Amino acid sequence: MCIVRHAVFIASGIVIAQGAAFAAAQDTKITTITRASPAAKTLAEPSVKTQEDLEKAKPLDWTKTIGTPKRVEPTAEELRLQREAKPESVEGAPAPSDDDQSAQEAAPTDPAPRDRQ
Amino acid sequence: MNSQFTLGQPCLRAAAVLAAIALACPAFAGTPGVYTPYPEINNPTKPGFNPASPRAIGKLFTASGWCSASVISPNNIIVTAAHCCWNRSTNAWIGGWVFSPAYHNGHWVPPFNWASVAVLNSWINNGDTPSDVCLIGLQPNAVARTVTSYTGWLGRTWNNDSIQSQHALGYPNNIGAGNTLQLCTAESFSNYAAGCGGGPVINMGCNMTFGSSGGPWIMRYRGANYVDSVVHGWQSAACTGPFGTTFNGAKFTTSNIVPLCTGLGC
Repeated sequence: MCIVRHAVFIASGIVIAQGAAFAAAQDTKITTITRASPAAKTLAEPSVKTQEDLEKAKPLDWTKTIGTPKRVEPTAEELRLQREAKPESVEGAPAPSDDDQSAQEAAPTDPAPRDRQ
Repeated sequence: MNSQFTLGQPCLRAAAVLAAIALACPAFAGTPGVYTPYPEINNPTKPGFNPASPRAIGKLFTASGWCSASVISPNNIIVTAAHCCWNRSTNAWIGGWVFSPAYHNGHWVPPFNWASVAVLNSWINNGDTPSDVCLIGLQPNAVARTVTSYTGWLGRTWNNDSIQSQHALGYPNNIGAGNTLQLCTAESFSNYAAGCGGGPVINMGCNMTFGSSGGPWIMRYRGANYVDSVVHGWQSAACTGPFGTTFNGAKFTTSNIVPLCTGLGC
């Protein structure tokens, strides 16, 4: 009985340690850039002001920017967390319905759009 | 005792029928290449505009070409695909992000330049499909208005089952030359075969291709409008389905949308 209790204690300790490691990984898992940062100065500035700019634009080719993915197999702990995760949601909010007129007035005065269908 | 027995039998039969239906349903759920497409006009100034269509969806211009995106936070944050933010071939930010909500053959309102961008480290290091999510914070536009003052924002949901009724929206080059918002409605599904990504990757029938990257997949469309994934693209015929009839996305989970939103302040 004592051995069983000891084993349960060790097992729960491992689970807690894994959970803590997962939580730590969660804390440092993103990379950000802000417009004011020095790194941002080297990035191309947007240019979509005129109708000509819009017509010159091309769709992003995902085969180029995805690169070569590495196969990532989830750990047993990650699979368990996935299985046990409960659905959650955050509500949105609609656009202000009385704002259409002011939005239209604020719209850029580009040349009439061309039908490119 | 006898009355309990006769009452129990129909209940058992009903339970058996319900169980059989529940077991049979996944066989019909989410079939590659099965979808309903139509153009969606969410720009209030255009003929055919439906007030129920969310204006929070728009076209995202970048230095490497356009993608699709949607507003998902009252703090002027849009969600798109990480491959529209970070180029894994050059190992660098793509840059030049400008969001134009409810774009329809031109801008509806003056567009919004980026202020901050966040991707998951796993996207940079691994490029795995479940990490293909990016958040972009937006500055006020040229007339000093915020994007949410025009569009409101969509809800978001995560950790849901893979099988869901979805509406995917975006600006694909292969339909309408990327000038108008397009929509596919279909049931999503995951492919659990080895190497296909399993539950964190969801697929759905749709004919949109390049340009639809980062476009939202929405549960309860024109209702609660919960974004639960964004367009990644296509993996293989075996995993996703035939190219141009089915695409895939990163299902929102505790591991992608939550740390991104925490980091950028949704």
